[in-house]
Amino acid sequence: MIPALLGFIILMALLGAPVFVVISAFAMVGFYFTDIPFAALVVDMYNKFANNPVLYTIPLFTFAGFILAESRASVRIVNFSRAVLGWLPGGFAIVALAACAFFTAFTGASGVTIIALGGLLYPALIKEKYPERFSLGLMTSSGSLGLLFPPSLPIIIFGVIGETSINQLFVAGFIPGMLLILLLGIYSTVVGFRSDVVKEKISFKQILKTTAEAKWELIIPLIVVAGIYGGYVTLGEMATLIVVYALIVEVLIHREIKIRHLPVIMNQSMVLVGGILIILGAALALTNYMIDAQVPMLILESMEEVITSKWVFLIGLNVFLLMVGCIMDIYSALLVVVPLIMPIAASYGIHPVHLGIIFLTNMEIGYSTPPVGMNLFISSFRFNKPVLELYRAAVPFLLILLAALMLITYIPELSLYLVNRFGIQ
Amino acid sequence: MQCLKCGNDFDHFYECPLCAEVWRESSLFNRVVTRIEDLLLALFLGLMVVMVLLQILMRNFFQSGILGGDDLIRHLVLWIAFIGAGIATRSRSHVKIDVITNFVGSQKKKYLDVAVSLFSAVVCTILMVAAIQFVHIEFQVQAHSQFLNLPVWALQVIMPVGYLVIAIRFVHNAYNGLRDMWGERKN
Repeated sequence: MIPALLGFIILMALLGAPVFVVISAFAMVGFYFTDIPFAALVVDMYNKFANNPVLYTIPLFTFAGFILAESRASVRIVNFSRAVLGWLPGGFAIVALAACAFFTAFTGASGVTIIALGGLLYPALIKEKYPERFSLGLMTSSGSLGLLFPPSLPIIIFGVIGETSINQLFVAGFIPGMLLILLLGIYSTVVGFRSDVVKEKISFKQILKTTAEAKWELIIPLIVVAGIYGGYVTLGEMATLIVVYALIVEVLIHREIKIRHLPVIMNQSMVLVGGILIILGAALALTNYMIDAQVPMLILESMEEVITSKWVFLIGLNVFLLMVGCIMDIYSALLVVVPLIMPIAASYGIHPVHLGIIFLTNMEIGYSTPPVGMNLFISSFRFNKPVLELYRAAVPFLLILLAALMLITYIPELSLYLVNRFGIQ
Repeated sequence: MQCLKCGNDFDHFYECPLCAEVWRESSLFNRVVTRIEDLLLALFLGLMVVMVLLQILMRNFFQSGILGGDDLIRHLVLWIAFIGAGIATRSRSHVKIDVITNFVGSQKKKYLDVAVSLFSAVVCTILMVAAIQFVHIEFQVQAHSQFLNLPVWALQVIMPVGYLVIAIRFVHNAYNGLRDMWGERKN
């Protein structure tokens, strides 16, 4: 009976049932056969919502990100990065990487980056004589770059689920995030040399002009960092201030968003938030069941016989997470997998913040991994190319990201140095 | 990108969130609920921003706060989450693991969609029942929030209502799919 039910639920999942429905269904089967009342399906959701002090940053940061995405901020940021970085060989590709990272940090790798920036960056890349396949791969893999920078949504969710300090995670992601951009930037430079792309001349006048245009958006990351680590405001207050700031900049100063467009932007951003939070609710119930049934303990016991060292465990963890990243989207994976692996990783002596960065880097790669990486489908839709072509285009980028993942996994200092250096709590 | 249905201009988005799937040929239920959802969402998100701002101001300038303000903000997230999830069901933008549907033809996709919608409707109905039980318990306890002394069950009532709306939308979806298929067979 139970295997048949589970099989049926998995079938429904593969056929495209919403993730929250699938997770809830699993929890129902678990509760039903252990005689736990069904009210347990919603109790944890309510308790988490009613007691967590940072959950409300999720709708606020997302709303702020969508306000920026909907204005012409993307154009200003690309122009600015172009003036500063465009003279390098492979410069415009690096511009694309930087601009994508900025946007992803604010919109939480929801596909908004590719949708918002793709139309701007892809034609420009082609015009500057970058190979088509390279450009496609770049846009696809950049769609999740920036996940490791504050105030990215996945970091906040990892903090909420794993009960880890979000301030530490924000700081920890900085060097690994930069490493990803650096490695992809080096590859872009090599490609830039080989295909003899257009190079721009450096002009200080241009730098000043574009800085002046983009100044309001460019200081947002500085405000976030200074506000939180200066100890002036809490994360939630910062989220609110960023919403107000984004509204003032885009509605009053640049006048690119009309007041009557705001309900639409609210609507679109809260659909994303609602979609994530309802999965959170379902996942909390399932987690509750699994911890009740001691699933993490059972996994750990059977693993301890085979895997004896921390380093072997990390290899296994990466392989497992990459597989998860291939078939699940980042939010479902965070919500379902993190509670399972947290206790196991802790028993192998892995710092929870380091685990978070490893986890998020894996998910970032999973975004562009065939067969079902979300970025591949969004790119396919956005640039009107067959998915198979994008599979091929993504391969070199995936290899580079995998190399970066190895470094991030086996050099914990990359994640933990800044946290320890500045004693972030 | 211009919305094909209502002609509104919505940069960068897949579809017009105000009218997609809903405004044309939609039932009274859908039209009314959609209106309410859009209204409440804007209201609650706005209220959330205002509440946090007030808290910052009062703490820094008057060394005080709003009694139960945090409690209200956290419950607003709950409401926003369920309303957002309801809208996601309407615009079919729930997160899913699309392994198979990306590779099958449009005709088969319709059959699968009906099956999946019915399954989702059943699960959401069970969730709704669970939520009703939960709120009922809270109703009997008669706890009150610090904020305006509101009863806690009233703050929770969005949970069963939210699941109800989602379930109805899935049923509606399945019904539409079946009707389409029936119509095609007759032609």
